[in-house]
Amino acid sequence: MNPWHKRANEFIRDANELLPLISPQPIKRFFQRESTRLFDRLVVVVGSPGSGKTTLARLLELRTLAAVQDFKSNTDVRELLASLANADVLDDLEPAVLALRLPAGGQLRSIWDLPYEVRLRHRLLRAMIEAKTVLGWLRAMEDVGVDLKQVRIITTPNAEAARDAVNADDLNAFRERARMTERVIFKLVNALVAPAEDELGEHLIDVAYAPFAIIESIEISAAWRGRALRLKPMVIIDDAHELHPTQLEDVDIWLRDREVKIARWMLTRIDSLNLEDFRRVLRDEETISPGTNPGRDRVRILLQDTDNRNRQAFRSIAEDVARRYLQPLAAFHRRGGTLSLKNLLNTARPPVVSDTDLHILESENARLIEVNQLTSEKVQAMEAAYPADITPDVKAAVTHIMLERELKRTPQRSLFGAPAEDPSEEEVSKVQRPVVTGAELQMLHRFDRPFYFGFERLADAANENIEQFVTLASVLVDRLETQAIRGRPLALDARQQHKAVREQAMSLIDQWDFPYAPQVRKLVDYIGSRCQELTLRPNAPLSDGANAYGILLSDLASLDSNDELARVLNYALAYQALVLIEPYECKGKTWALFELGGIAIITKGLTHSRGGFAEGTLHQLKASVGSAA
Amino acid sequence: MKETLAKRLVADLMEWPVERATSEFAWLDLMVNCKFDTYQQYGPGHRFYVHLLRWLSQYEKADRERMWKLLREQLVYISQDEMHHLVSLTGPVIEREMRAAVAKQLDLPVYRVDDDPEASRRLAEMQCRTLYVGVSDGARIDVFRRYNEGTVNNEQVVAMIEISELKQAGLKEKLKERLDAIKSTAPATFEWVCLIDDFTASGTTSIREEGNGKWGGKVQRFIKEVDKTREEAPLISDYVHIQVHHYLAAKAASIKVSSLLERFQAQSSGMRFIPSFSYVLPDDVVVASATHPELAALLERRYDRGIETTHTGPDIALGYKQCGLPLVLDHNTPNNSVATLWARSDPTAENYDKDKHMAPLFPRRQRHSDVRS
Repeated sequence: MNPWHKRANEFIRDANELLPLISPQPIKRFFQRESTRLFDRLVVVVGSPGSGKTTLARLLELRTLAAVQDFKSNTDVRELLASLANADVLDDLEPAVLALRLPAGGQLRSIWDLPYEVRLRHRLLRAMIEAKTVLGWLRAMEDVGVDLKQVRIITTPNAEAARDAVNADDLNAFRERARMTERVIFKLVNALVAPAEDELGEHLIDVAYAPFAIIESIEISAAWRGRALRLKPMVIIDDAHELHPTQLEDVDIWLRDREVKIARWMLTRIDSLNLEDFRRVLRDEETISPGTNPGRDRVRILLQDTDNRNRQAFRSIAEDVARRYLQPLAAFHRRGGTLSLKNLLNTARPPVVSDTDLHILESENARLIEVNQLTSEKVQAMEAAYPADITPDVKAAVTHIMLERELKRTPQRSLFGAPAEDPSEEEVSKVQRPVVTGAELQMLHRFDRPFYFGFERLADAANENIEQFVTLASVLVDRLETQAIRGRPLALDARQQHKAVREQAMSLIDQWDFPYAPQVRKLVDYIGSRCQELTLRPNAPLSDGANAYGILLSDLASLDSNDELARVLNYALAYQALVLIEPYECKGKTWALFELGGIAIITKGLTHSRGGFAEGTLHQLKASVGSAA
Repeated sequence: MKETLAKRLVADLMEWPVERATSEFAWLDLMVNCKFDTYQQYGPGHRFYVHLLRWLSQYEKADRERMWKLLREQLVYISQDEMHHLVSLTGPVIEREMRAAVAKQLDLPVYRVDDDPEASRRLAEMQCRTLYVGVSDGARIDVFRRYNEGTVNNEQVVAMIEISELKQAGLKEKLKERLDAIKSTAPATFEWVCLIDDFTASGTTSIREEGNGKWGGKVQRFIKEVDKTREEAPLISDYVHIQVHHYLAAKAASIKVSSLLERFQAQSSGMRFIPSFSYVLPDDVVVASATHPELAALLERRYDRGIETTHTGPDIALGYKQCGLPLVLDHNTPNNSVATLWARSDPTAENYDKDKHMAPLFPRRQRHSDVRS
């Protein structure tokens, strides 16, 4: 099993194999964020594909939680278990939650296609979710060896009639009741021709099924694990975006109801929200908007960070994931010790351009020095302000930028010989790191000097998305594995890394097949070319250049959510082709920045640093995707 | 040999850079695990990688890349599962021919056969009066029978051409019982015979002209066999359809078999011959001097005449009868495939050329032992 292959986590059935692969930091961050509100109200977890939604659901399944006892002394898993214990998912290393992951596609979605009025279809959907969940709970307990005779359903007080209606006193009857409901709805959904609404009659009696409103907990006697356990029942509706939007809206309203006693989560892709809603989630408006407090009934959690501050945090997550994923690869075993992808990639020495290219740069610099009428002392003083660790070619490229800047700054000399100010008085300021990055990027485009190498740039390209990181890194791991197989040093030089990562990024963009992908590619091309133009200006006005397109926030607010561009942007954001940053204050104005995703940045040869943007308008964006401007 | 060590040696031998090695390793992982290592003529501890290394290293450094290309881009390897799939396609192919025959007899369009009661009855009767004969071990007649459970009765299947009189009587007796069960008054003789074989590359094993108006091959042998009882207790009816089915055939062979059967039919009164195939390999897979001059020249250059036998005849660098197939079947490699894939030099052979010693990638088990002194 090679976990570097895409979406491998979904193929790991055995919890004992899964647990060591899960990195604890994202789980810890997730549970810390809303720790008190995760199990008593509706939680909607929103994330791009690969942001970890399904992993989260798999982690909460009973068969995973039941396996943690085997890992109590495993240092790799200890931190993960601590996070789960803090979130009350584990109680003294025993499961405290009985979660069922219910995929929303297929039968649930098909209910919408029945020829009945909307309210009845919603009723059927709710009953189907409840029946499937109850059956799933019972199956999950049996799968881990619980004898159902040792299980007791605890319901809310004063609900005897409802308790009787679901047969909660007798587990066999309880299961049979759920089966009956599932069977009736299953027949309707799968009928070649569904019966007319007025013929449903007695079927509807079986559909009247509402255990979520009364079940508080499920108790398993001491016979199973040596002590009695009380589990919080939970349903996780996975891929909720596969429901019809009207269904999704109804399920949302239903599960927000405080009468529902079980824990309930909905996992959904960003596709299910329109651009306006997505922006609201980004701004965290649900919890902070004054007057109303929707967070009281529902918590929306975005499983992707838009915050620059967390870039360092993601690097350490990526490092941890990489370490865990390298362990199962047999070819690395013979090397002994713990391998770190970070160390393996960061041993690459910075590349240097050829002597010919360096000569070109130096000749250009000599010409600029002459035009600027600078003395060699002045140039030396300027170069002394560069960071010490740069290679000669980068130094020449930085000098080139500084001389171009000098050229822009030098006032035009008077024809009549008025003396220019003596520049020696000016203070030589330190050259900042972004200028060095800008020089490296210019050399990437001019001389094909490798830029995307080393662990940090790889992690930064992942948009804080673990799957994206794994997909990008997998090409490097494959090559390292080849080196290991061939008994060669475990190292890839800068050019090998750069080439592999760029090719992978290009192929990932070619594989985009989500809705509006062709338009998204056009949008990315347009933004990329605008950013390239800024980055490659000889005087590097933004130092390391731009990777975003900024429009005024007021301009974005005028975008109709039914406009084609709104839908294109929505999918671009949902699949991380773009990242939206708003509000962004700059030059006394408030902007919305559409930053290119990490993969697009690599293909366009731009910086990963946030902040530099090309100014534009909504009108230009519309024109770029070919929609009516 | 350990897989890791083998891959390292292959990459070193081929002098691949890291990118190339990574992509070739991924391909090797897939193909070796899914196909090559299950080749039935490999011995214990002596599987694909060992043969690959020996096979590649027998070529000059400059030629190895061309040979790798033969393996990577031209080789057609039919695994056991794939061969079973071809077996599973046979039933429908035979049924289609029967429907066409029924439609022709009753002067109906083929699509009406299910709809017309007389045609349906006639089709059921024809299926009942069909005999399935495996003409070689490769016919996998057991697999064929299992795929057609419920349609083909155990008593309609025989595993070889030579059918003893006792067996013939038994087959007829069971046929009578089946005809009675469907209330048919048709005579208890087979009106449809399927002669089933796995593969044909030259097209001569089933039927061939031997000169002077004489015919040879398995079709002829079968007819000779059943002719023995034709007067007293005939096994087949006078107007029998004989369907010659191959699971796999080279394009040239399929054309040849069809044309030979047509000519043979012209000389056989009453019988009708039908060629059919589960899959025909297209012509563009064939290695020939005209289409692959560089490879063909290399194979000729590195050819040891010592591998020739009385059965293969001379000049088999491109395979028996110069068929030029890049084909390997999971249970054995046909001798019509290019010799480099299957031939092993014998240092004691009369024409052995030490400098051109051949080591196979997929060693072939010879069916005939050489009688040459």
